[in-house]
Amino acid sequence: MDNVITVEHLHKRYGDAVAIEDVSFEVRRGEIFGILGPNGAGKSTTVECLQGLRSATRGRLAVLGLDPGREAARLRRRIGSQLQSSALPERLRVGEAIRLFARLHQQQVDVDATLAEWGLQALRRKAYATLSGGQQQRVFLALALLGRPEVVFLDELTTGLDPTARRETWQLVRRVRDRGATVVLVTHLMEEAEALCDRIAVIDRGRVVAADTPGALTALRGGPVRITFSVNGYDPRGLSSLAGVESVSIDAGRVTVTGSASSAVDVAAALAAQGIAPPDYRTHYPSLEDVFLALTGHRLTLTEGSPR
Amino acid sequence: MTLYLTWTELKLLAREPLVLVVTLLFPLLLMALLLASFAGDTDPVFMGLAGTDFYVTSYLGAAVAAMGFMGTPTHLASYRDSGVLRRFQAAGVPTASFVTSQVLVMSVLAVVGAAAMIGLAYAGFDIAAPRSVGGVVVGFVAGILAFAGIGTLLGSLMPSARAAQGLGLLLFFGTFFLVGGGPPPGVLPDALNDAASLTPTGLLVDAIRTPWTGGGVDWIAVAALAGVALITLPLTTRFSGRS
Repeated sequence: MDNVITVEHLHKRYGDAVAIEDVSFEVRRGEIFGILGPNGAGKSTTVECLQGLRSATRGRLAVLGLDPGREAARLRRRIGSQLQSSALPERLRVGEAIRLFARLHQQQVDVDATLAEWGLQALRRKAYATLSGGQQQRVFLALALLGRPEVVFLDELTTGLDPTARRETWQLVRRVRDRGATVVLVTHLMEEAEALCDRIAVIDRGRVVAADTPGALTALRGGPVRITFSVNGYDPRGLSSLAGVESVSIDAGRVTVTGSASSAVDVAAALAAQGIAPPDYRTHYPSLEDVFLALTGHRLTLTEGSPR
Repeated sequence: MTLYLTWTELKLLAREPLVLVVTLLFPLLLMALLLASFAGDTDPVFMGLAGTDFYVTSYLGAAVAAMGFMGTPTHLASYRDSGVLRRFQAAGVPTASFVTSQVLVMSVLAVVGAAAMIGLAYAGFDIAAPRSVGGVVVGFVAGILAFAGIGTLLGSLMPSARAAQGLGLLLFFGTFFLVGGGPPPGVLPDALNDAASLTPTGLLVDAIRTPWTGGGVDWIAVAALAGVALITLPLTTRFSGRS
């Protein structure tokens, strides 16, 4: 497997405060890799160490074969970056920002094409401070992608955006990946990690508690699939003999079946075979929130974007 | 990159009329006020100079000191507060380019400010021409470099724009009122005058005033200012390299 980033036992402390206890993971070329965890888990510190913006206290880091601690300047030319809580000068116009940052790259950057690509032509003469949150993020993405970087770091890209702007931004992130860049996405939003990421490292209190694809994480760690439906005059207990079914219960005509992911199909088939078609048949797959709860014993977040 | 960044910063500055007023117009108006008040006075309290010559040279220094103590540090600290510096750094803007652009921006402002002051002083008042134009230029340039160094260093060390503003006010008025911004030195105790002439602001005003009034280049003041620049500018580049 072609790894573009390797992190081995990263440890970072500020005086007595430990920001990162022990973090290890690999990022493969061409994927969207999510770093998911609650605020203060050490996510941003990790990616800032990877970009050479902070030095690691211990551990081995390699990004595109370079050591971010010692070869930061060489590395910067090959990566793109969207930092959390960063900004542009308030009165800098969008077109000027693209032009200014384009100067940093050896290859010619076509400013007009860049503006067109990110749908920024209409904003060209607008000052940074007058842009909406979604527009600012679009400018940051355009800046991060100048010079065709091989790896792009996006830190809390959609925090503070409304759901529509968030979904539009996700579409843009997919486009970044489709253009061939590897994306490292830092987020505290389950929904975002689930929707966007090919693989995820779940970080809590400075440690990686799990790393895998969202599907594998929820299948292995999220607990059973739950199936619910309502019936009249049907005894569902027979369903418990189906392969993979763990429990069957009925409460005031409402049936709840738990079991493996494949049992959901078998339950539906068994009902259909008996001519039963409940109008509210639902399959509830475990979410990353359930995975996080199972792994850490506490909830990830109850803020915007998390399911319920 | 450095020149383009300088050009961009100048354009941004031109869009902040209030900052321009404070940095350029305010010292200009104060100078005009004092020139009008003391036109024709030659008094021992002005170190034996005409009041007008005394205040023109003081305020040429004041414009530079105000930028170095207040304008530049506040600007840089607010860039840090809002995350602009982080963005520049993450994008790979070389620290030396950024610091140099700040020095260049300050130089442009200082030259524009000085030209306006000298123009106004000659147009409206009876001012003696500088005895040594070259000497004044040497003192002025050394002063700009020293205060650009002080300004960028303060800006890179101050934790916030508010802190930079507060300290800047203290440093500027604390020194400038003692070296010719306020009461003339003749009415102040000697010990205070001696101490004030050792501050960067005092050195700057001396470096401009001595050649202007016929004392030749004040090499001690110029060397001291150059020393300040040589110490502060490399330190700035080191400190602003970290986020």
